[in-house]
Amino acid sequence: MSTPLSIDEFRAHAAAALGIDPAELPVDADLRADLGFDSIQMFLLLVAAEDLGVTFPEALLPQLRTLADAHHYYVQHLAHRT
Amino acid sequence: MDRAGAGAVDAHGGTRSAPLVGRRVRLRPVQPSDYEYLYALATDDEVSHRWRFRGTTPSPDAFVQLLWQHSVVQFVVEHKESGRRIGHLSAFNADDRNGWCHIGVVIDPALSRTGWALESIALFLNHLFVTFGFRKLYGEVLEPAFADLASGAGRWFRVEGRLERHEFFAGRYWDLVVLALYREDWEREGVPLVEKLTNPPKPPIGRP
Repeated sequence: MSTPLSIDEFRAHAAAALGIDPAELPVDADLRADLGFDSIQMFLLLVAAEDLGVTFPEALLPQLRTLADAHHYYVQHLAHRT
Repeated sequence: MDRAGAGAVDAHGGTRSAPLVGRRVRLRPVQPSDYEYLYALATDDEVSHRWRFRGTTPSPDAFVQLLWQHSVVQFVVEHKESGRRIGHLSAFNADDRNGWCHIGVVIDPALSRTGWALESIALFLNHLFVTFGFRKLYGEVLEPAFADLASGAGRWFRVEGRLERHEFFAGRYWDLVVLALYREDWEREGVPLVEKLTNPPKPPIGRP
């Protein structure tokens, strides 16, 4: 059984995929409203999160507002699978 | 010139065509049965101002003729799970001598917020670079649409032109931004991305 990545590890993974410093990705900031993420960044973030073996249901995607939301789903999904 | 792309050379050194199926979408050629859908998409309130007809409503017959005019390749984007059509991708006005062509992208506006439909564009660009010898691909976007892509400048595409106050829309003139996608940029950024999108999903990853 594997332990989920911590929120900091998850953030570092996402920031690397986005080509930004992790400090530019506060976990509780609204990705669109606060950080100004555009469609390309939202897409790259989704791909990075799914690279961890988690498939995000499309119905859930509009509700993912923060990195913490994405991490929460990842942790829940990992716990379900292991 | 190296003309590789995801799908150009497989792990065993053989060649294969560019993949057209990703995690959530598939691309397939346009069929006559798609014309009504494509007409509705092209004349949708949220799309028509930035698509080729720029707010006009051509007759359905004229639409079909224009659809294939100077066309290189076009695909309908389908949602894999439901089979629902969600967009239209086209390459047109190719200049074979100089190795470039133009691309057009229309995705259902309702899907743009979450970004996942951009997968179709990655598959399409990869297809163009793998299948044809293009050096660069041009896209043109009005300023309001560019704002939703701006983070890609310098990494995924280069801004090569801005025609100031070029087009009238919503009561004012807007800049038209000319984007160029270079083969070398695609090989660096796009090929690894498409390999991820087209390979089977990994098992869940955490710390051991």
